[in-house]
Amino acid sequence: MTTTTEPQPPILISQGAEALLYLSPYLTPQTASITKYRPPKPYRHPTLDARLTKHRVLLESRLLIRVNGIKGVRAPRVYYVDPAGGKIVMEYIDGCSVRDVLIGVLKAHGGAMPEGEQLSTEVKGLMAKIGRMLGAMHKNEVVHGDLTTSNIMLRDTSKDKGGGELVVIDFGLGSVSTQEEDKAVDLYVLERAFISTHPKAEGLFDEVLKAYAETSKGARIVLKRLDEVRLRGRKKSMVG
Amino acid sequence: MITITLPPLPGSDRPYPAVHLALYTNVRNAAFLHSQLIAGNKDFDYGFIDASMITSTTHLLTALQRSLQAYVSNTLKTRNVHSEIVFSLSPNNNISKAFTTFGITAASKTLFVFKVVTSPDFTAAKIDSHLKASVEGDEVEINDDAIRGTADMKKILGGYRIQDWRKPDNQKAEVARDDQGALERKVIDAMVLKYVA
Repeated sequence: MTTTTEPQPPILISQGAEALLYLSPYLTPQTASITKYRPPKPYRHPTLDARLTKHRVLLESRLLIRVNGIKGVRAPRVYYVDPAGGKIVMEYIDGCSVRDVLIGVLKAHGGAMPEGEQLSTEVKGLMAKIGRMLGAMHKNEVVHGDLTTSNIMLRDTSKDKGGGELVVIDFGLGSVSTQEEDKAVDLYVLERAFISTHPKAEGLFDEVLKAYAETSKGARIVLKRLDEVRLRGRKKSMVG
Repeated sequence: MITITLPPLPGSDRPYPAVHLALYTNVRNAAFLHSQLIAGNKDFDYGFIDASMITSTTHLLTALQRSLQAYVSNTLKTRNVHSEIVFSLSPNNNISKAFTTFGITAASKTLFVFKVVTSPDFTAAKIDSHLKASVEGDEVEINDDAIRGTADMKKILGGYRIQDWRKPDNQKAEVARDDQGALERKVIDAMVLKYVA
């Protein structure tokens, strides 16, 4: 155990509409953690604001803990939750997003996504891993709500064991649902993310779906539903 | 005895106070220390934790951080920052049960002693000499190996109601260490769940 000296200040590493992400030491100066902080919104009535923030913090942290209990799926571990203060302190994932990985692959091939035989087994394997992981997550009734290639991280391989492990982050829009519709929309959103960030990477998504289909009986039903969702888009009710 | 200062959470206005911390084994006067604590003797205003309930330094520091956070944000659920450390360890919100499970009892043989520096009077020298005079036991250095030696698996699994756990029997050292990490994760998850359930 070390005796702490000067505390390093937290570093703001990302900002979204809802929350700020800080990188800061936790417990010991050597342990990095991420704090997701939802600041109060001045344009909202204070009472309502406090209630919404508390509700969302609790929802997200419950989901993170639930996901971590599922075999084959990993999310950042939750270290500390302050529902009233709008803070979740969680594990820092040292690595890069799947988006960055794919962009790297594209760059290596001069901007063209290799197809068929050319597609390296490594990338194929990664896609299958994503498919299997989502299959396990959906089988346990967890829906992410905002699946993108940026929200799936690949832990740094050069570090100790667990290298190359996939970690799903940001369950801020997640929910627990048994509906095929919600799961299909999850996949649809990911597909859109694949197409929009890497137009040439569309073929890769088939690899994801192939692995996904093999995870459970329910998964094949979800894939059937995905065809319907593709035809009409994300919103089912067509209201709003 | 060592003195530590935990790094504050982002967005905290107040830094955490420093904490003096010591680990004792072969404690012979637990009953006396317990009675002083119950009587509310100001000289014995320490956080006493039965070391058999602690799995690792991370586990210990997690509880300490919670208590300090509650202290600086004025959201203590128990009488003071020291009792809050004991309460933080508990997986449920029953305060008196937290004390009997995780706090000092007359039967405690190993003890963690905390003193949060909430007043400039609590200098390291003063606290150290008072502890040396008050606790009849052997002070040992705090590290994961020492904690593994004082941890009582059966009590920990019971205290945190962890059921699906295989006892790490005669495995290779590396596997055993891995299991220790898995237990630590389960325990800390249980502590977090208290806040989100």
